[in-house]
Amino acid sequence: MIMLTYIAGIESWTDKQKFNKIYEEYGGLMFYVAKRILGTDEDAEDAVQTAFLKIAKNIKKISDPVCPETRGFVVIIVERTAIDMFRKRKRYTMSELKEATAGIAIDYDGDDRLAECITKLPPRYREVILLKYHYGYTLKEIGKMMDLSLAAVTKLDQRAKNKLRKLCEEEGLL
Amino acid sequence: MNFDEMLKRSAENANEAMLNSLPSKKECEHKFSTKVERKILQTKPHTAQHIVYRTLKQVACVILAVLVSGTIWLSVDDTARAEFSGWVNEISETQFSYRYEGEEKDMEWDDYRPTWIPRDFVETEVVDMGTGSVTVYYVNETGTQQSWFSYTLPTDQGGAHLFNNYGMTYKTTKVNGVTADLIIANSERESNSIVWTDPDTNIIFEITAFLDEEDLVRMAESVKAVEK
Repeated sequence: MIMLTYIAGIESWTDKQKFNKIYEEYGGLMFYVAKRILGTDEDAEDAVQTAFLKIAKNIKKISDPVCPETRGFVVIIVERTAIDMFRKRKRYTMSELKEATAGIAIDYDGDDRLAECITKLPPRYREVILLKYHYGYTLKEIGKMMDLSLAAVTKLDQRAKNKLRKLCEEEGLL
Repeated sequence: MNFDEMLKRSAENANEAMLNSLPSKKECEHKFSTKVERKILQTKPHTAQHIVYRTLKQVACVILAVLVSGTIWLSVDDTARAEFSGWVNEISETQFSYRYEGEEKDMEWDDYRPTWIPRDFVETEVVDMGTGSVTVYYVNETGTQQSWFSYTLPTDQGGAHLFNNYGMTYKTTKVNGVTADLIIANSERESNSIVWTDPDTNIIFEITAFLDEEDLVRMAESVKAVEK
């Protein structure tokens, strides 16, 4: 028992260092993303705090706390958290809803037209596509991050791909 | 190259575009309030789940597991656990969750709807997940508040009902004599929920809406089987 606790202590210490580094490096960016969606400092800080609880759950999957992969991952997590918080609000106008649920504004000027279509997807669809196809998370893992059952996240993945195919067809890609 | 392979390649480019659209660290520095910073930095990474922790967690889950519809406490006995089936409410640091534990039932079931909804509720969408979980969405007349009613069959595939445990108060009430859980948001800007099970079918029901406790119970008590 003592040995196991000791080993666990080392693990926790390493994870804690990683966690603190993520806060130091990306806390401001996460606040920026959350505030664009929620509008007030107070709500944005709440969203960042909730997002960090989700990051804590997935800390083992983060190998390097300061790298583009981690930056993208924390942005996706805080965007989802902030949009979910916004939707639970009691009062908002339709224009506020549209603006908030549009998520991060992405400018794409490359020549990969499928990538451009991905950036045009609604945030929830874009997030599941990026987490699965770029970050390599399983649907089960994504479900846990998004507080969705496996069945729900499987459906979400299917819908995201259907929407993407439709966008591609409209753009003449498929 | 098939669609999934194309997606993998293009997802990388889309991710890069997303990152390039965001400001640099210098451009978005923010000093968090002391209270929030302390809370964030006190968060304990969860994945250092060594054997002792996992075992304790499993034992704690079993001890704390409560049937949603009643007050049956499970013992830490393998036989009892094997024989147990029902909806288990787990309360963690971040969420309340309801998961089905036990043998799946092959059952025929009815479709359900609340027969009373607030005057300004308009049904907008019915989503049948095809896995034994159906959700009916409503918006108010001005389209500014979304609410839903859902039910899930007692199957593992049906998945879990999850609620944030942040800024919520948890208490119990009765729906047609059956114990139900109320999850009340501490902020008026967030919706409230009620969760209960039908003791005969073991189907779990949830209503999440911008309603007070009284109206949530009224809507819950009005739920009836309807023709499919």
